[in-house]
This record gives sequence, C-alpha cells and structure tokens, in this order.
Amino acid sequence: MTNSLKKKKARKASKKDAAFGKGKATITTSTAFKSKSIVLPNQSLDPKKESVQILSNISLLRHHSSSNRKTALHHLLTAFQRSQKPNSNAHPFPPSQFFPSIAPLIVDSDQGIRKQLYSILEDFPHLIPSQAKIILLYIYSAASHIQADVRRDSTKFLKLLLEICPTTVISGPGWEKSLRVILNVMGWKQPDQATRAIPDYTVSDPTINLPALFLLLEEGLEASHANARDAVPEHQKHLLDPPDPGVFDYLNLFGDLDVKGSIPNDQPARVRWLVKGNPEILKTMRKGCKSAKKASGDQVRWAGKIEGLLDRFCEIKEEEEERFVRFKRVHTTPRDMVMTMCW
Amino acid sequence: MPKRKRAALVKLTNLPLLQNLIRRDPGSYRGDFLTQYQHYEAQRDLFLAQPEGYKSDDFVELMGFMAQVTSCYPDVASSFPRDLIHLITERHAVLPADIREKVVQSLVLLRNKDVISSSTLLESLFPILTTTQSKALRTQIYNTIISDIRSSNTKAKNHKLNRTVQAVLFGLVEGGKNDIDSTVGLWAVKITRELWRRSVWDDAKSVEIMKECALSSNPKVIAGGVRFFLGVDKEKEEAVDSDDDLPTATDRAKITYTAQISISSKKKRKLERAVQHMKKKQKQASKPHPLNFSALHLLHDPQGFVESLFAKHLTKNTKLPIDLKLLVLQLTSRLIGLHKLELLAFYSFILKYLTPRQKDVTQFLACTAQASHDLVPPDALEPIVRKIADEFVSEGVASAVAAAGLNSIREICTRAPLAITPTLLQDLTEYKGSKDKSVVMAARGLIALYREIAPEMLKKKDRGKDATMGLSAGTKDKLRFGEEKAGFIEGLELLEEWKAQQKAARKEAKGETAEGEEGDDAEDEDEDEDEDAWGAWDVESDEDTDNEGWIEVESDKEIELSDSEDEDEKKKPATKKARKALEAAQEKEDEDGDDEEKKTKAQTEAEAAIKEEERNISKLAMTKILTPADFAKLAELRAQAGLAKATGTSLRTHNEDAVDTNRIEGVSFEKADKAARLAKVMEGREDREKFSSKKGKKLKEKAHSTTNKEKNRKKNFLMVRPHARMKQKGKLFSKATAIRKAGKQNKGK
Repeated sequence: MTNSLKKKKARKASKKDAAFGKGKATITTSTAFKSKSIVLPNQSLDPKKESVQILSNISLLRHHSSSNRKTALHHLLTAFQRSQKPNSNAHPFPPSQFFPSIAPLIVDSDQGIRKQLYSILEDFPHLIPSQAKIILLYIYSAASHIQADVRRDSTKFLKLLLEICPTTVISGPGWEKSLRVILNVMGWKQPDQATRAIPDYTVSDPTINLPALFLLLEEGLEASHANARDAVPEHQKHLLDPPDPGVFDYLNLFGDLDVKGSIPNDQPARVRWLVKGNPEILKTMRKGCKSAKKASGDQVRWAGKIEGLLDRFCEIKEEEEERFVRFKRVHTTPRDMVMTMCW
Repeated sequence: MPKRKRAALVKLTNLPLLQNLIRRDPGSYRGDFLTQYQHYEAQRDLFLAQPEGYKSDDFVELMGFMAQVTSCYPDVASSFPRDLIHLITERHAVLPADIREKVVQSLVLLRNKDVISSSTLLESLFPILTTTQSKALRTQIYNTIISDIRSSNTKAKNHKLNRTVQAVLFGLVEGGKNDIDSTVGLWAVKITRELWRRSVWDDAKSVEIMKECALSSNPKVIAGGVRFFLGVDKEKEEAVDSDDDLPTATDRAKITYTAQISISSKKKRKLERAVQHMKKKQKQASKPHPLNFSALHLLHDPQGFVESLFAKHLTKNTKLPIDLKLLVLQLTSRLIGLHKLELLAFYSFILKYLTPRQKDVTQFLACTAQASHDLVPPDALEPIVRKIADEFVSEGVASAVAAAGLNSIREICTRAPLAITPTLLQDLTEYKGSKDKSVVMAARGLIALYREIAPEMLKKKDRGKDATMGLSAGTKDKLRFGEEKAGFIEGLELLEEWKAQQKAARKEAKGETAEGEEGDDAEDEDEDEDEDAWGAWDVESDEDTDNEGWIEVESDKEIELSDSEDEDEKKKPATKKARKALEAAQEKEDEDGDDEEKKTKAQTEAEAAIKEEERNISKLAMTKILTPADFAKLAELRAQAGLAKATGTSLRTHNEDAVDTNRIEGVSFEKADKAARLAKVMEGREDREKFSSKKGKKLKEKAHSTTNKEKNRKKNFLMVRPHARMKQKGKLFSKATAIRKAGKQNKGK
C-alpha cells in the first residue's frame, strides 16, 4: 500500500458517520469558567453611549422598514423628553437637533408614522416656532408628493403650524406658496393647469383642507397684526424695529431665494397680489367654495366662512393703495434696507 | 365623491410610471407634472436650507425625472435648466458627489433633448472644470465636454461652436501664460489634443492654442504643448487605425466561405492576422499623405515660433528641467528642419551638449541632425561636425560611441552635405577598417552617402565603380551651397510611351471599321477620356490648373530611405546628367585639344541626351495636367519596370523627416548578457498562460476515476516485463526484415 493510500484510509477512518440521527450530540455548554460579576454593556447609563444611540436612531429614521423607523422615532422622543426635564443628567438633545431630524417623516410613506409625528408636534407647541421654517419646507415637499395619502396629510401639518405660529408661515414667500400648495392638494386647479385624464379622487380631505385654507387666508389678509405699532405716531414708525425679521426678503438681496413668487411681506401687498396680480386664483377659490357648499356638514360652514373672507377683500380700498405706493417708494432700495438694519 | 374603478388603473405611486405616462401623452398629465415640479422646487429649497445631513436620494431621483420630461413642457419648466446651472456653478465645491454627478448628467440630458444649447452647456461647465477640486467631477465634465463637441461635429463641422470653444481655450491659456503656477492651460492642452486625435479639430486655430501652450511658463503646460507637436500626428493615425482595424465577423465569414475551409483555432488566428495585414495595406494605399494636415504644417509663423521657443525656454529659462528642455529642443530642431528655418544661435547652443558623457546624448545628436538642412550655412554646421568627430570618433572611446558619432555625422551630412570638409571625411572613412562591426557599418554608411552626393570628396579607392565612372564622364555635379535642383516626374516617359501605344491601338481599331476621319475625332476622344478620368476621382478643385499639388503628393509617397550601396543612376535627374555631359565635354576640349575623335564622340553623346530629355519632358508634363488616374497608371508602370525600389533618397525630402535615435545608435553587435537574454525570454512569455504542454492537465482539473494509463504505471514490474519483451522482440524482427529487404533490392541493382 502506498503512503498516500494509507493516509487516505486513515482520514476516512477518522471521519465520523455523518448520517442523520446516528451521531451523538456534541453541543455542550462549557461551565469551566468562573466569574465574580457579569457585565452587560447595553445596560450602561454612560451619556456618551447615549449620544451614540441618538445618532444611530436618527439614522434609523431613514430605515427602509417602517417598524424600525417607528421604534427609532419612539426612542428619540423618549430621549428628547428626558433631556427636556429640568435637572436631568441625560444627554442634551436640543430642539434644534430633534425637530429637524424628525421633520423628514412628514413625507414618510407610512401613515402610522405620520400620525405619531403629528401627535409629537402637537405635544410641543411652545418649541415649534423656532423650527417652523424647516418643518414648513417639508410640508411643501409633502404637499406635492407623488403618494396621494402623503399629500392629503400635508394639510393637517400645515393647519397645525398655522395654529401654532402663523407669522412664520405667512412671512416672505410662505403665504403665496402655502396658498398654491393647499389649492393643489384640494384639487382646485386653475384653468391653465389642464387636469389629468382621470383625476385622483383619493386626495382631498375637505374637513381638514377647508379650515386650513381659511386659517391661511385669515392670517394673510386680515390686518390684525399691526397691533402695537398702531399706537406709535405715523412719523416715528420708521424708527421702530421692523415688524417681521424678513421685511426685505422679497428683494432677494442674498440670492438663492425663489424670487419668482415672492411678494412684499405685508397685508395690503398680499391683497393686491391676490386681487390684481392673480385673479384666476381668486376665481378658483370662489368656484371651489361654491362646489363645497353643495356638500354637507362642516364643509358648508367652512366654505361659507372662506367666501365671506374673500368678499371682504375682493377690492382694494383707495387709501390702502396709496399706502402701498408710499411704502414702496420709501423702502425699496437696498440702501434703505441697510439703513434700517443699522437702526 | 364616489371612487371610480378606472382611477385605480393609474394610481401613481412612482416617478418612472409617471414619466412613462407623460412621454406618451404630455397633454393629459400636465397637472401631475406641475405637482412634481412643485415637489422638485420644495426638495430643492429643502436641500438648500440644510445641505448637510440631507437625504439626497429623492432629490436626485426627482432631478432625473425633471430632466427627462421637461422637454414636454417648455413653457412651464423653463427655469429648470437655469436652476441646475446656478446650483452647480455656485455650489459645486460643497455639493455632495451624487448630486453633483446628477446635475451634470441632467444638463447633458437636457442638451441631448435640445432644451439648452451646446454653448450654454459648455459655458457653464468650463469654469467648473478649471476650478473644482474634485477629480471625479473634473473627469465627468471633461468627458462631457469632449463627447458634446464630438457629437455636434459628427454630421458636419459645427464651426460656430468650435470657434467659441477654441476662443475660450485660447483665453484660458493666454490668461495663465506668464504665471508659473497656473495649470489651467493643461485643460486646453487636454481637450485640444483629444479632439485633434479624434480628427474633430484639424484647423490652424487649434494649432495656435497649442502654440500658445508651448510658449507659456508652467512646465506642465509647456510639456503638453510641445508633446502635442511632436507626437500627435502619429497618435491620430493610430487612433484611426484602431477604430476600424478589427476585421468584422462578416469579413471573416466571407473569407472562410471563399477559402472553402473549416476553421481550426490555429487557422483562425492565421487568417485573422492575414486579414489585418491586408487591411493595413489597403488603408495605407488609400490614405492621404499625413503631412497635408499635420500640426507642424499648420503653424502660421514657424520662424517666429521657433525664435520665441528658443529664446524663452532654451537660452533664458535656466530653471527648466533637462528632460523638458530636451523636448523643447526636439520641437525646435524639428521645426527648423521641416520649414528650413534660420536660427544660427541654435547650433552654438547645442554644441555644449555634444559630449559622450551627456545624458541622453543620442537624442541631442538626433536633434542636431534634425536641425540641419541644406540652407544652413556650412560655417554654422562645421564646428558641430568637427566637435562630434573629435569627441566621439577617436581611438580612445567605446565602439558604440564611435558608431553613434559616425551615424550622427552621416545624418547631418545627408541633410547638409557641405557641413564636412573632405579631409575630415577622409579621416572618418578610415574607420571602415575598424574591428567593431557597428563602427564599420557606420563608416560604410558615410561612404555610401558621399558616393552618391559628392564622390569627389572621398578618397579614390572609396568612390566605387559607378561614382568613379560618373566622375570621369563628368556627369557628377559639384555641390554648391543654396542650389535648388529642378523637380521631375519619374517614369514619365513610360507613361507617355504607354499612352502612345493606347492611342495607336485605338486608331487601329477605328481604322478597321471606318477609315477617313482621324485627327479631330481622336483628339476629342482623348479629351473625353481625360474628363472621365477626372470625374472618376473625387476631385475637390477642378479649376486648380497648376499640377504642383498632385505631383507633390505622389512623389512624397515614394520616399524610401535606403543606404544600400547599389543605388541606381536612374534616379538622378536626367536633364542634369545631359547638361553636365555637355559641359564636361567642352571642358575637356579646352584642356586637351589633341584628342579630336574622343571629343566629338562625347559631344554628340551629350547632345543626343539633351534632345532625348527635352522630348520626354516637353511632351507630357508641360502640355497636360496629369489626372490622378494618370498617376495611378504611372505608379503601375514604374512598378512593372522595376523602378519602384530605386526611387530612394532625394535630397529635397530629407529635412521633413524626424530623426530617430535608433538611426544614431545604429545596430549593436554586442552579445547580450544572461540577464538581458532571460529578460527577452520572459518578455516573450508574458501573454502565455501555461508554459508546458497540456498533457494530463485536463484530467487533473476534476475528480476522476483512475485511467488505464495510470493503472499501468502502478503495475508491478514483473507483471509487465513479458509484454515489454514481446514488444522489443517485435521491433527487432521488423528491423531485421527491413534490412533484409533493403539488401535484396541492392543486390538486384
């Protein structure tokens, strides 16, 4: 017998019979080691670990599985709540980090998550205004999302924001944009936007849309915000701080802003824009209201309210026109803007 | 509202679906598009509001969607391209890589769909190309630019676009011309070179750009520009070759069908090689002469260019690295040789590099040879030749050095025969008796050269039979500086003869059918035929009456360098020969008037030669414009007459060629050492996978049962022995019978 053959035989002999159920079980637990304590790493309360966890949960918000996103959101919420408690030694998790990280869930495809997010936002009305801009951007994005249910829910969020911090929503180009967005979601299309061959009827939820539209119009068109400034005599008004941080946003001094639709940030200008500049939008709204009135219940009430609002502002009064012109003359040059800022 | 059944059919859940629907029916889905456009704007604002930590997938997808369908709604989405351009020009430094890539892709798509113009695209991408730090983006933009220019030049040259791009590139180069650190010119070099290589640009303007590059200050840009002039024409040819060199499947099938063979792999390889060879030959035959549009020929002011090159990089700029200096030197010398320029400072400049210890001295020698031509004053070249002779060709130096020296002197003298004095020449020719073969060959080369151009400068014994006979007959010209020799068409008499034959044959044929009308008719026919000949060839300018161009193209093609000693007399201009013969005869008459008979004989001979010559030339070349068909026939006739090989060296064309360093180094006869031999062997093995035979390797690859052969090998010796013995015996028997048979046959004889 050759050497190699011998080796082969030896190898064969050493192999155990691998047939099923014949061999003896070899899996055993080794109990040879001894230890005084058992340490489990995930029970630690180390704040450093917590920060890592927060970060991982933030990244998990983009996970493809909706259940993972849900749990991540839950974790983040608890971490945020813990950090908001006074005198807590938890890892700091400021709103400026929390809200922007959960805001993308407005465009989430899962309805349950959107619901959860809505309830979270509802719970912190005092913290939202500082983060409203970024949330608003996500709302716009959701309003034109390709999924119908995402689009439908976007007005819910918009309504919430309008209730909490109306000034942020209507400042700058926000009012016009929000208006266009709502009309788009409601399916109140302007004549030039030829409708699809087969319209998508699942979009609209008038019980939310109509109140949201009403709120928006009311905030934008009612001159209620000129409150404390009215007490100051007219000739000293220019010495005051500007009523809104972005008074001259429409001048687009720093680029990047979408200038196309921006209108001056005051009430008469908005009225002018609606009545003079875009009568077709006005027309669409009236038409929409009329058709909404044919339905029942709350819808009729809200449609009536909106119509009343529109009736009140359908024409510009002479004095307002005059004021607008004066405002333009005084404030339009960039030099004025700089001077205002210096003051 | 009631949910209709049909609505479910088009429930839009993703962009590709919508894109498909929009493509089919843009009108009906306008509203959906507008919604998506809003979405895009929202996403863009979001992205701009918080660039970091933004999940860009949606934005990227949306951008692709918009780019695909924007062309369907030009009225609504006109701002989309503007948006993209704004985004990439303002923020290319901070954009995430995927978005950057997508933006460029979308712009290209928009360009392909004709939403934006080519110039808009290029104008927006060019500034980024030169400023961005990202390599990936640069490559992408570079490829985009190249392919865009190529595609817009495919059908016909887009001169407007080319002009704008060339102007931009020129501006780039000129902007950084005097700044050592500015490398923006490199992009001009890269783009121009690539487009030139692909024959998209082949005009003087692109050459001007490269000229500007060669004269700039940054070493990299200089190298790019100079390399362009030195190598780009060759590159272009290679690119053209590689484009369609591969034989197509149909070609192969055709060949196999006509050859009626079934093909084994070995045969296939052979066939492919044959096909390639054939194709190459065909292409070479049909190719126009490359010098017609070479970059060196398109230069506007070669003299000015060379002067500024020399002044800027060679004499003043001492910081230039030596290898780059060498490149510049090569270009300078090439231009001097090609255009026969005068740059006397060059020769004294290069003198200091001509020592055997100089690094890359063969290249310097080659440059020297390139820069010499017959219009350089011999005074300028003589010191060079003398220095080479002193430093390279002496007893003390290695044989390779001596050979290089002799070869370079030969190359110089081929171009400028008056650069050497007879005494020096005679000294150098003594090296034909050297022990080293390469030196001997070099010396012989020198002798062969002067046998042909100026045998009187050689020693008597070196002149050879032909040259000596020529000298004694007085047909050899004495060399004079600045003398231009008259051009002639070789083998023209053959063509004339053939034409006469043809005419006669036609006349005969006609004469048989109908006698009478001859002259006019025949001539008419001749003209008709001429016209046909012109028509058959696609000629660009029919009005071009001077036939100079045609002649040049053909004669250039025939250049063939050969240093063989047995070169024919035939290539000498016969007019010269004849005139010289006459002169020599008259001289002799003056010298010794006693031999009357000889004199008259020489004179009559010479006169006859002149007459014959005049007849030859005046008839065809002077009265007619030769058609391309004529030239084709001429080449054929010449080949028949065996003239093709003898068309070799004519002085006039030498200066146009580059000098290869191989010609300077010559052939080395030194035995290679073991390492070199081994290296050569390994080089041959590079592409081979397995070195040994394939025997038994197939079986090893897989598990197999024991074969009979393997079993036999393991058998006990004693078991096998009887069989082996039988075999041996059998062999013995058969041998014995064979021997016996042979013996019988021999006996029978």
